[in-house]
Amino acid sequence: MMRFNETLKWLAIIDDGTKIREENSKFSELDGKNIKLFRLYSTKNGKEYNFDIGSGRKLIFARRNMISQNSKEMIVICGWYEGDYMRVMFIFKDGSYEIKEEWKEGTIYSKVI
Amino acid sequence: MVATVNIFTDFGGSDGNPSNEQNISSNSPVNLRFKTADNNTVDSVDEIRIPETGTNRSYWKHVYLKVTGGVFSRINNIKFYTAGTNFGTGITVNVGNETPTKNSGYVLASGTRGESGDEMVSSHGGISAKTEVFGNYILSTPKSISISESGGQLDSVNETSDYLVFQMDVGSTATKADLSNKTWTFQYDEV
Repeated sequence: MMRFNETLKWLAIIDDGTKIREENSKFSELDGKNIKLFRLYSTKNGKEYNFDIGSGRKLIFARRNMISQNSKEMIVICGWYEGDYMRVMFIFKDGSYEIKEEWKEGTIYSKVI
Repeated sequence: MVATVNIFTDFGGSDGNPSNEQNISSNSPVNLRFKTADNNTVDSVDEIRIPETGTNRSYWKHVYLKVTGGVFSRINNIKFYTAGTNFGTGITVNVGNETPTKNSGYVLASGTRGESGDEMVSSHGGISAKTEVFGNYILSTPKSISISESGGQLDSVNETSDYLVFQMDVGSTATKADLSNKTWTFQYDEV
């Protein structure tokens, strides 16, 4: 059975209104585009997380994977930074999440590069 | 869809040209076993015997991540860490400080089969120093694994990270036992 955060897909709305969806696009297609809004939504229950990006903010997004013997875990990391300020959500497999306003190196909350 | 990433080791062949690339993710009952031979067979053959004096060593192992499938854009920020608990007195597992480039940095593991592998710092040309893994590489202080692929990231199927080079040392103070398995973790970011 898929874990909750494995059901999350992204959708980006560009400043000209174009919608780019993960189902038929690669993330690299967003490179160089001005993203107005970035949305994560669950294909299982429709739950949404919206991130207003706009012109001043830079999108942060990654799936952080941890693989070991007979086990694979994943955390979805999504948010934005603007200058020295950031706001990033870490979404766990059960749907719980934490919001960080600074990276915490040496933990699962370490920086996305 | 996301990338399919597995843990591999290389063995056999010659320097710069390993003859075997093995996905050890499905090895059983453990993914990797240190032994005094250059292969990835998980069995009790070629075990590391406790010496009366000095140190016996495993043959070193080249371990890396490889993308084997899936649809994705890029993978980077690869790290390795242990759960922190070691195998006990007289048993040390080290990792080379350097992370040699896949294939070109490969050095065929050497030693006397069934007795001891050669020490990696003195015999592996790409390793100049080593660090004990359990006491040094845990979640709070992981070891970063470099990527020599274009752009310093994995962005296509069959691309790999660079190598981690591991070796187990067994000293005379070790106690003969069927040791418990240890869990190692590889972490990476993907979009």
